[in-house]
Amino acid sequence: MLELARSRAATHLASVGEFAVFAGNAARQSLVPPFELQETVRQLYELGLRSAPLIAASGLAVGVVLSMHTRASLERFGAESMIPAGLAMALVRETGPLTAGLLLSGRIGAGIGAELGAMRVTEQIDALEASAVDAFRYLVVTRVVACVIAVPILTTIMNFAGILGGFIAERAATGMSLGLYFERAFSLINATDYVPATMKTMVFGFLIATVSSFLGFNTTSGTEGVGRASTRAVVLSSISIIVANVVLVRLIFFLFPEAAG
Amino acid sequence: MQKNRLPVVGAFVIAGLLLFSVGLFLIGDRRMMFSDTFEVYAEFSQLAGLQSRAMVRVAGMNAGEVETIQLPATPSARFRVKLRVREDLHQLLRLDSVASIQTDGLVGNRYVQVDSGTDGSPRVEAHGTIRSREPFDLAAMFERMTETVDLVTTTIKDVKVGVDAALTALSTTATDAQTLINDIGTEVRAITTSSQKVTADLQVIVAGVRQGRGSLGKLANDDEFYDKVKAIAGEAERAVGNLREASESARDAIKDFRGDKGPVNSVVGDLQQSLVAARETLSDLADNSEALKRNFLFRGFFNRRGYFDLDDISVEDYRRGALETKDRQVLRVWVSSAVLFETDASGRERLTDDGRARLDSAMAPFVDYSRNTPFVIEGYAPGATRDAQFLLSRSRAQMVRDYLVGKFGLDAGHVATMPLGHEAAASPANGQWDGVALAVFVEKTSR
Repeated sequence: MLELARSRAATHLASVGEFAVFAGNAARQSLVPPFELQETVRQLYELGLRSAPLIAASGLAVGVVLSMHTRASLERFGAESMIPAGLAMALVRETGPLTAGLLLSGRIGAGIGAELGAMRVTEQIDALEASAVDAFRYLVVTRVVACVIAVPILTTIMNFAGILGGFIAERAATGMSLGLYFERAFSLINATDYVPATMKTMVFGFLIATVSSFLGFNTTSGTEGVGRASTRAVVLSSISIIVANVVLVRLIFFLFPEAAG
Repeated sequence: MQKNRLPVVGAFVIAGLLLFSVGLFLIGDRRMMFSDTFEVYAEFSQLAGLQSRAMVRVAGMNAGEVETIQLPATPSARFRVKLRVREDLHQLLRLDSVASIQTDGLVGNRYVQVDSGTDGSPRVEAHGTIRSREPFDLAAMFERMTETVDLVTTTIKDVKVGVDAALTALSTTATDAQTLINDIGTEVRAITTSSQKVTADLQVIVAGVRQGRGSLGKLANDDEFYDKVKAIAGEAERAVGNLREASESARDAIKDFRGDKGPVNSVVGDLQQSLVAARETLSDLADNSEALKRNFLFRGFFNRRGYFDLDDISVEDYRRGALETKDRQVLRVWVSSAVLFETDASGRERLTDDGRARLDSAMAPFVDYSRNTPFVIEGYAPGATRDAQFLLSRSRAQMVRDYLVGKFGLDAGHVATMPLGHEAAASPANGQWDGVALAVFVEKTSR
């Protein structure tokens, strides 16, 4: 029993080590040529642009809900005029990046895990390597780069969609004008609230892409393994995003103390 | 397929970057990154949590932000706050503009409020320093409120003590007035009695004179003597008249005092005036009585009535028993100074509470005797010299007399003081005493 537990722990630790080497390679190779531009663009289209409707719709819904909730809370203090500012602050600082990250880990993570897993079990990756194509650079690095670029953009879309959703709810409740709403929405936000929070989603993108690619790239056991790889890609990338977020927020507060205020 | 995707992806990336830039612009617009600004300074000794990037408002309008906060070099120096303000509001900032740190709402962020100056004042130059007002600190305000409440409580207590003291004083004054009126009554009765006696004596004299008897008769026939007697009688009559007036005004004053409408101050004033008048009258009466007592015709009468002129009795005479006649004997209660007195900060003696209680109990045997029984407070005190003994023993006797007269409403004319130094022949402590003795000269048959 103990032997079994020890061997499992060793296996998991080995997986973590493998992943670290995998992620390190991905990061390094994404910075040095040759860049697989066409494939990167294709991935940007697949992973980024095609996620935009999901993100925009979710953002709008989140904005409406957040607005309703902040209204219920702030009304008690007679601070309705703070609703746009409170909602925008919540969205820009945390809700937008994290919600976008989790949504994308679901959509992109599952896609990458399933796609690469299927390529692995159908020996397409082996075929690529046999034809002297750097399968890692071609399949993994392009996806990582695409995700690092796409996730901050999608987060920005999420933020604006959320603020717009808040406006819709606010307009319905009080008939506030768009100009006044945006003026108030950004009245409390500083650059230190906005820029670091958006930029940290590049880390989310990197995590989603590397975790999913790693799982897909190392798929075994046929089609059953593909399904498992897809599920684990979603679960592990989501968890890694949430855990990384804790560290990132702490890091942002450390680097930009005024963001903590 | 590939060729179609490229512009779409490009558009996606550019749109994302643009959107991100719009957000930055919306933030930057509020921060006046894209409009003309100028810088001014304001200095504060308390920042009250003001941070750089905090908002600046000129006359309530959002006008910029706090650029930097320079720390003071010494404890007496102040924080130098650099404000970046929109150029188009420059004309509002004059040399008499005042910057203050405010809170946005009750719990909101701190911001710097700059009031517009007056038209006559020159504009603040860029990089100039405007005047400042120290921030309103809620905690400090609560502290001041607590102090104020304490102060109010103390004041109320003080006022209560003052009112109590005033009421006590009023009550004492009323009691004094009552005592005075009683005394006046006694004096009036005494005067009336003595006047009757004088009249009777005069009748005898006149009868004698008519019969041409003796040298006294001759003296009585003398016009000068007649005039003197007439003058004495006239003075006595005026004294009685004054007394009546005084008692009437005292009664009126007390009536005013008891009345609902009369203001307390004027009542007290009236009462004091009445008391002054009554005292003056008593003083007149005392003079008249003194004149009567010194008249050899009436000395016997006064002595029998208990009017002793202690001024005429020296300490030696008193020691020899000048007041102890064959009809009267002395009754003494000895009270030690250790119980009676304490020395205050200025080195003067004063009565202690225990001392007062001791005197009250010492008076117990005397209250049975009639009010006009001669009563002498003998003061005794040790001292290096006789004059020191005299002064201290006199002040002790005086203190005890004042207390007893006030407390027991004694007839002031019958309570005398006798400073006797240190020697006390009858003392229970080997012929010396330190304190006082209450001596009452009672008729041997009076008990």
